[in-house]
Amino acid sequence: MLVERQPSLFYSMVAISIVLALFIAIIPIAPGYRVLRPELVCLLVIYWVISAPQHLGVTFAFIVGFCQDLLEQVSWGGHALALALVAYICLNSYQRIKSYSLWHQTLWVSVLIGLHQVAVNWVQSLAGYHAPMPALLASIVISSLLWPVVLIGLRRFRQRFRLI
Amino acid sequence: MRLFVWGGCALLLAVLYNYTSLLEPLKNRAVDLAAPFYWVARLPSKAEEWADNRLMSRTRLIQENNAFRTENLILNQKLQKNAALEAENFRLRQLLNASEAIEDKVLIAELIGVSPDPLVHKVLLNRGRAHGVYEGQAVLDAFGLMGQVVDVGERYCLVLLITDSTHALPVQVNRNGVRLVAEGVGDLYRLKLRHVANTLDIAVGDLLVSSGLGQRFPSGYPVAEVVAVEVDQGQPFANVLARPMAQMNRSRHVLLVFERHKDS
Repeated sequence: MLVERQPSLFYSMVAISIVLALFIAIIPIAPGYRVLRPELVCLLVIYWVISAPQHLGVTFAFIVGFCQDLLEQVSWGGHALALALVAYICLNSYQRIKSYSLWHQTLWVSVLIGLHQVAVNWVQSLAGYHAPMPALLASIVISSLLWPVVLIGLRRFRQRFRLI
Repeated sequence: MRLFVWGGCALLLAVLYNYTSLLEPLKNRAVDLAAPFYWVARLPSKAEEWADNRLMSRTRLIQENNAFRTENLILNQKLQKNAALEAENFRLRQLLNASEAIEDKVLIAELIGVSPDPLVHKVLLNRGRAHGVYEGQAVLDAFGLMGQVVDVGERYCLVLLITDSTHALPVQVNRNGVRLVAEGVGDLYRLKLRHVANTLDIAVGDLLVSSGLGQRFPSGYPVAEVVAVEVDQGQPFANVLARPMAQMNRSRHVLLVFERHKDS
């Protein structure tokens, strides 16, 4: 495991990927297509938590979520709560998730993303914003279809540069 | 255990953020923290714009220049008429013993980011407390009222647009002075008018201007144009929709209006 051999390298890899995902979360998109933006930050948190569950967990997810709240200028605590919940579930089930086939995993990730969206929208509704159902579903479908890409892409990257 | 601690923290943050004003100074700080990220995220579109500027052909530049010159001439002509009208208005107001209408001071700002959340209609401007921006300040573009400043950082500020679903403002029908409230519905091209009586004199094409009654916005700026009036006698109120005059998703340069009495 890279995290035991070279912790600084591992953590900088995590940090860089999360910062990139945060940029993708705020890159300007035409108003009509904004609902199609994938929840890349959530996918990466799932990926890193199940790949190093002894080192990254709920605290990590909370910090990442809070950064996203700060950046997106939405009600604070929303993404932090949602990602902490997702990380908790991942911590409790990472052994099972890792043994699933890719499509089975994607299905499971879509459930986690759904939970994430519901939590975020609940906090947003405290501020008076109510997301329509189709927007939530679109985001869930697009984000979970991106899971195989994230998983295989990061795995290839780590194999290529021997960062396993 | 960790989940309870951090989940509890997140819930506490959410409640404090939405129901109290304890986090207000931190929110203003967060605007300054987030702004550089938006600046970087905008670089790709900036580069495109730069290339566009560099590669513009000479003929197109000349064409554009001519168009601007003509436009300038027309505007100047209108301005001449305006000067006479303003003087006349001033004299009439003096006759009526009304307080004189003051010309508003403005500051030009550039839009550097828009809220990534499709539900939230907020934009980030590159002006802040250092430039004299204050909370509640009105923001306009060349066509009409856009929104108001909600969080002010040192060099950046966050603006809530009038189309946001948590925003409403007092307006007046320009034709007959009827006062109404226009609220956002979360659609960039729609405002909804609240509590319009079925018998009220309002028609498609009416211009709505800000009435200044909420003590937030200066009066007399165009806000929206009525596009649909549905009267159903069975309902207590008519269903009236309007289209904002300001170009909510196109304007890059906007104006921050200073009100005189808030300057001092």
